[in-house]
Amino acid sequence: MIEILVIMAAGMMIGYLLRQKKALFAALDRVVMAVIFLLLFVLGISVGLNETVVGNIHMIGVKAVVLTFGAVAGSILCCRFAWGLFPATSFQEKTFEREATDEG
Amino acid sequence: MKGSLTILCCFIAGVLAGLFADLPAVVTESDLTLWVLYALIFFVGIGIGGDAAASFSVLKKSNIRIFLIPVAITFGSLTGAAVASLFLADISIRDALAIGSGLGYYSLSSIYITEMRGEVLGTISLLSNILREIVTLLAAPLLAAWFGRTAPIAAAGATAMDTTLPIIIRSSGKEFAILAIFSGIVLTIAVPILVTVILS
Repeated sequence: MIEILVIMAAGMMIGYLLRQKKALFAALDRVVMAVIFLLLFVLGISVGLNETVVGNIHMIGVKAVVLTFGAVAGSILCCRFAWGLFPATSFQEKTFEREATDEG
Repeated sequence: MKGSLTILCCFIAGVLAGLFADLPAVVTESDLTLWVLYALIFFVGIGIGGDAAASFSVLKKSNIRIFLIPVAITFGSLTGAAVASLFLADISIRDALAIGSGLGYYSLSSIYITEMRGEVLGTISLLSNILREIVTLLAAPLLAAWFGRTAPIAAAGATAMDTTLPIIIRSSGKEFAILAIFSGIVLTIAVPILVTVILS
């Protein structure tokens, strides 16, 4: 699956080279959404064709909920602990406004 | 929210097509998913590359400790999913880690897991990571009130840079926007790497 990382790196380099073309990136967001829709549709087809999934959908749903709960709870707790290590003055309003003008 | 509902509809439409429609062979070949995935990765890469200047200026102006946030979110997600898998008889810890490493980036991680582990685990991953985004969108104000202002960023995972950013800013305050974008970017880049490393 190394090809995934190579394709992403290639995309990032091309994106970096084309970074001045603002219109391109506005269109790109729509292309990405369209490809995601297509991908989920195609993924849905392979799921619909898979009898194991179709026959056990209620069990699959329960597992997804349990795993989501674990992952989200773990993330929130660890992130909170990490945030506690920062001094209270981190990420003040000023930092944000400077970034916002940079981006705008 | 609208986006994730549309995505859910596309997925359901695909499932119905797979169940009831008489599809041509070119569609039913599993290679099609892989090629569409490659296209998606490529376009996502272009988007990140084009935004590199903004991303790196955030990095330069920030203390190195800012990396603790996405690292902690990843660690928590992996640990939490692994612990949750102890309650699920037929989900191995490794598979749970793969699902937890999706960090809400369902389009990428679920197709990836489908390719490497099959449709059953891929579907669990898809539902789990879509749920993560939906929970964040619906519960961000509550999460911020109960668990502190970084909680919506943690729950959002990789989606903190785009779909859930507006609700994070509303729940946590706009001074947390940069942290959310930064964390989202780092996690978005981390997802394909983590899933590969865990499943290979």
